[in-house]
Amino acid sequence: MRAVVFLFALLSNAALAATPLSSQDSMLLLQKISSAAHQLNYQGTFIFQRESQIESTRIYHLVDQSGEHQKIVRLDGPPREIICNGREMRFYYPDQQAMERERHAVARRGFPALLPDQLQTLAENYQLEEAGHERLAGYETRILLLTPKDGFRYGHKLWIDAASNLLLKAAMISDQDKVVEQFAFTYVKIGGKIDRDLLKPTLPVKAPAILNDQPQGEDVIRSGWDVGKLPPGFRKIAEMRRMFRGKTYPVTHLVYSDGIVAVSVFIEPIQPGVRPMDGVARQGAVNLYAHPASNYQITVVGETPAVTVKQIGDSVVYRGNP
Amino acid sequence: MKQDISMLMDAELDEQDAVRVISRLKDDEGQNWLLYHMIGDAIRDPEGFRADLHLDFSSALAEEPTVLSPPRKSAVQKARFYALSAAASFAAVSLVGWVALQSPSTSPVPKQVAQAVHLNVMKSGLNEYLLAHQEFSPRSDMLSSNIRTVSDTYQDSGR
Repeated sequence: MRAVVFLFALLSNAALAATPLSSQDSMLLLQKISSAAHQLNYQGTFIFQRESQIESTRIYHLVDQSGEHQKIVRLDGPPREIICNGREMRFYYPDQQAMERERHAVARRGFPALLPDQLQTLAENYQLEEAGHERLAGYETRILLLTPKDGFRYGHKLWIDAASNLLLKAAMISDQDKVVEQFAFTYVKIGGKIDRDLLKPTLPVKAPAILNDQPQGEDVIRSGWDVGKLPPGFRKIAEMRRMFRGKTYPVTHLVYSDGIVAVSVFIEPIQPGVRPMDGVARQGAVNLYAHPASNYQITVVGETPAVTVKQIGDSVVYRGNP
Repeated sequence: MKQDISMLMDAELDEQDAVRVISRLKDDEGQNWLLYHMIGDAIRDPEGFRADLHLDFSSALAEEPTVLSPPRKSAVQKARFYALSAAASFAAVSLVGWVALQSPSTSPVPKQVAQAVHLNVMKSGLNEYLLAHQEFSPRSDMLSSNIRTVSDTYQDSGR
């Protein structure tokens, strides 16, 4: 019943305020958002909310002749800083113990450029519209709404600074009108000069650098694994074999995307004496489905509703190498 | 205890009672075993669990379903048990979280539950997969970068 009421509310709101956008315009806007985040100078504080958990983070982002520089400071909980210079990323901690506790092999790279056919995909899967203006953290924003056309994905609401295209707030919304995850700047200064000293670490213990463009122990392959019943609009964007901390064997990793979110499939042989995992779990917008298939453990992770990761996980098949 | 679990699932307990019940669930392996099996059954049909999960639990509890509880554990069985309980506790607490969060009440339970979920994600080793996945999310790229990276490792050091 709530869903019906919500749908009605959504439709009537949409009728009042929203202007449909062509897929071309939407994609252009999404690309502008992405480049603004990487090419502008800005500093501010944002909150990240997942279910009832809220965390505050400070960010400094500076671009100069030598490239992109960024410092991220965790304001809640144990202190930590992340400093990125170009492709190098370093974590800083208050002491050695804190570093040991937190050491994660986090490799990041830019998302592969969206292909022209994904432009069409996005419009096939979402109703794209501009839904008015709102003032946020002192800035006038345009609101972009991506309303899913089926139950395989969440809705997205994006607040974009009208002048610079920097994304100032983003929410993922379930079919029951619940915000499952959101991020929002509470204070931000866009543009202008940023003192390089602000991007220096203040915490003493430095973890080893992570280079974004040198994925270690990863191997781009054709694994022979495939998803038999892929939900509409998802396409494979990556396939690799990689090592994980705590595992002595490589894991096959397939990635599918509908243009705005991704779903990962991890496939590994079930180890002797280990009871396979079977079930669904959720963390904010991320649903996880673990399922054994003959001698393999399948784990599916995506920023999608549970039904999507389950359908993908249940239809993983080995087709063999061509 | 059954009543308590049922009330916990329905988000009818206040914060103190919820903490007490959750800690008793953690302490009592037998109850865990029973609960995980029922949860396992419920989550094998995730489309079904949203609306009627609490009903499933209540009736399942009332009927005292037969579960396969090993009478005497060998070392291998014990290892299996812990492997399962790590995975099951992730699912179990997550499901409790799901139900509590779905409830419109102003119960303080969700905060407790949300923390428990994250803790178990860490223990299960699935966090490595959550992080690896994040690298490929187009949405993450729009939000500058590393937002979830900061967030995801929080619970690791917090406890």
